[in-house]
Amino acid sequence: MRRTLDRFETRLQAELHEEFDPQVVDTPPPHRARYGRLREPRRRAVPLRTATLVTAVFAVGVLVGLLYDAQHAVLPSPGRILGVVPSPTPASQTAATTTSLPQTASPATRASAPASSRPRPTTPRSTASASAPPALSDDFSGDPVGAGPPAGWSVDDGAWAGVVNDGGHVVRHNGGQPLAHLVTGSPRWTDYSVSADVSTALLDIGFAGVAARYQDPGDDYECGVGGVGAQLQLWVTQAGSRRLLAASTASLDLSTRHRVTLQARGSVLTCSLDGTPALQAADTTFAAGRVALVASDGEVAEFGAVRVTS
Amino acid sequence: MGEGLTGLCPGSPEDFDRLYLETHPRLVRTLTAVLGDAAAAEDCVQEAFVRAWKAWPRWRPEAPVEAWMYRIALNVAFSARRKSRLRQMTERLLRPSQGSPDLRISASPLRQALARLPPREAAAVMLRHYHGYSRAETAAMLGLTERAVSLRLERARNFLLEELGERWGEGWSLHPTASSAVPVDEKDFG
Repeated sequence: MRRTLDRFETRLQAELHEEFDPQVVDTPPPHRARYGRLREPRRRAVPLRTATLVTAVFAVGVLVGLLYDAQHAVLPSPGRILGVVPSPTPASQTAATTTSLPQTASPATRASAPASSRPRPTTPRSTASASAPPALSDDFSGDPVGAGPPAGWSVDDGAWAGVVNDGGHVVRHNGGQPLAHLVTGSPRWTDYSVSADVSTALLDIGFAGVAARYQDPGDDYECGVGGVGAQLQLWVTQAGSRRLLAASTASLDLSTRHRVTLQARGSVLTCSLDGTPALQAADTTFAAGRVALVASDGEVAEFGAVRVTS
Repeated sequence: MGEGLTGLCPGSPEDFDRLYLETHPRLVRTLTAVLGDAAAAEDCVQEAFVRAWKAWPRWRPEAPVEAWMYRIALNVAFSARRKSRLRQMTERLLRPSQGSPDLRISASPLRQALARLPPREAAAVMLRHYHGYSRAETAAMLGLTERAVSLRLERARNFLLEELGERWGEGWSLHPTASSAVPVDEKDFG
């Protein structure tokens, strides 16, 4: 049997070369390769052109919609109902509304939820007002290198490399490690901001960021870097199912650390990048919970200077 | 691994150009086998170089650069294949009567068989049996242990033998014991 397998592998190698060697691969010279555009000084014009195009398409869509409505209102075909009776919006569709703030506003998000149709944010039904004001400051400087988990934190799932020294103490999640949550704080914390310096190479298409109103690994709000192109993203995770509330259109520069902040105030969630509010959404799924650092399966990520303020 | 790629300096544009020229054709061929589509493979490789360029200043020279580049490209490809499968399933659900055209209908039996393998197994076959990387190098590129690579190669070989053995007509007598005929993509995040 061994000889059969060896013979087959030899044949397989020959067939692979016969199949793929003739494949013509066009390798453009480096100065014409797409990655090279990142170095061109005129690259700032691209997002502007894109934004103009998206705005124009959106405007044309609105005009077409208005004309279509007008035609149907004035010239109904025989037997058809004149006008359109809006159906009531299901409660599940109003549980979350999203807004992109000016700096990284997403045209797609704006187009799908015009301001006039957005439900007003509502106050969560239950609050844990008896808890002490949320407050935390941890730069892991008191933890020795290799400490895992750091003092005051607990690993709820997955695995972490622990505290490492990378220009200062940070908590590291390695590429070979599974989705992981590192948790601290009180389950009675309601309205607060949690922030951390996040650094990731984002080799996979996963996620690295902070979580607020954390219940368990499958229930929380998360703000961080994720997706192909490394955008800022705001998620709600409920019963293990993730739903994107808002995302930036621009890619983040992953060569530097970013300050990621998630503020939960009433039903309004605000995701900030380097101190600038960038994404906002309204959601009433969770009213209170702990804070967590989140790194998804296969991602290299480092977290430092964690702050929680009320 | 990558004998021509020594002495690279993180963040150096010239060194990144060297990495690009050295690895681009190999990456395209590998991803063609994983995705079953040369055009999709070229798109994924371009996306991988964009992401690699962003991360280039943070590349650590102690990590083999070719394995680093392969990991980025393969992760982009695995993601693309997941999305493609999801899109095909959605199209079938929305338009069950029409069915989606199979773009691989004209591909060779070997390419069709590779495209039906789980993506990490297809990648392992290409890295080991086409490019000739060692098991340790293949493991580094896939982010797996050597034992996991051996298991995937064995499963892939049994599947390919079952699919192609008769066609290649040399009286292959092995009856595979643990074929992975049903592709199972890796669990996505979330």
